[in-house]
Amino acid sequence: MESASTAATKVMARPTTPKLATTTAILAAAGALLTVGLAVGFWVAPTDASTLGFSQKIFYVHAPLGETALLAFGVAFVAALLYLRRGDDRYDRLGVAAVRLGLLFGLLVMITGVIYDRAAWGVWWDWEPRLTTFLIVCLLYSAYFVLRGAVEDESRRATYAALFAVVAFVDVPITFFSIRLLPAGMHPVVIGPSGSGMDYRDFIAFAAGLAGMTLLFVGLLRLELGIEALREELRELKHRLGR
Amino acid sequence: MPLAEAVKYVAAAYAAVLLVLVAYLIAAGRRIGRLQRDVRLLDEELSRREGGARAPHVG
Repeated sequence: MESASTAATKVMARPTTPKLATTTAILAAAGALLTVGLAVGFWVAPTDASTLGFSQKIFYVHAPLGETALLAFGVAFVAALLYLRRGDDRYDRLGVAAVRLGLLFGLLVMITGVIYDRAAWGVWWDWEPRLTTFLIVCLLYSAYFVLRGAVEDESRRATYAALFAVVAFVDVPITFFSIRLLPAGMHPVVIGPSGSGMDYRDFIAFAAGLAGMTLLFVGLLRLELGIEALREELRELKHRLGR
Repeated sequence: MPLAEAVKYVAAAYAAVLLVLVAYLIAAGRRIGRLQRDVRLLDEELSRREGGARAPHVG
């Protein structure tokens, strides 16, 4: 027989926890796609004929990570707009989860990026448009959590964080288009108006990597939403216990 | 770039990605475990408290 508290809690509107089996399946599919992408990239695609040589293989993980980080910040932007419009806490939780993952992918972009820079340009860092704007994106979204930590009232915290996420998103399209609009940069354009210019085998490796990384983001987003749902449940229980 | 040097950069990049992702997954697993434990404990406490409050009326 279920306890009174369990029954009462069930009646209340609780945040739904994404099903673990579905999340696991998504993560497994992501792993499979990433493996296929890397296998094609390493064993089928030709080795770069320019000065990059074998180090060009970093591209197969670096570029998909970058696209996925920007996608995560895009999801946070949409969630913020929805929260501001509807005031539904689910969108606040989605925003938190998306920003957290955006920062995770962003960190990986920076790590693989500096290694790629060193291999390609001979320097660990260069203040060129793409690198600089992406660094600003990461710093801005790091401040998102500082802001959340500074506001105690839950409703105000969510509103301020949503407003911040909307404003911070301004830098995302700037980052994306910086290499297309500012020719001073050294960073290459992967897919421009005239196509990618990639060998088809390179493109398959890149596309599989991008699809796998996007699925990884979706799987991890579900995991993060589950964590946020547990946090919400804990807050609710504390509230009912008068803590 | 010589192949031996390029291999080091490629290995470093992929190893870093793998390490960070594994560290993230371990941290996420710990967070989930801790939260589930706290929820269970508070749920039990709430259950005891509500059960105790109703006890006099049961008999």
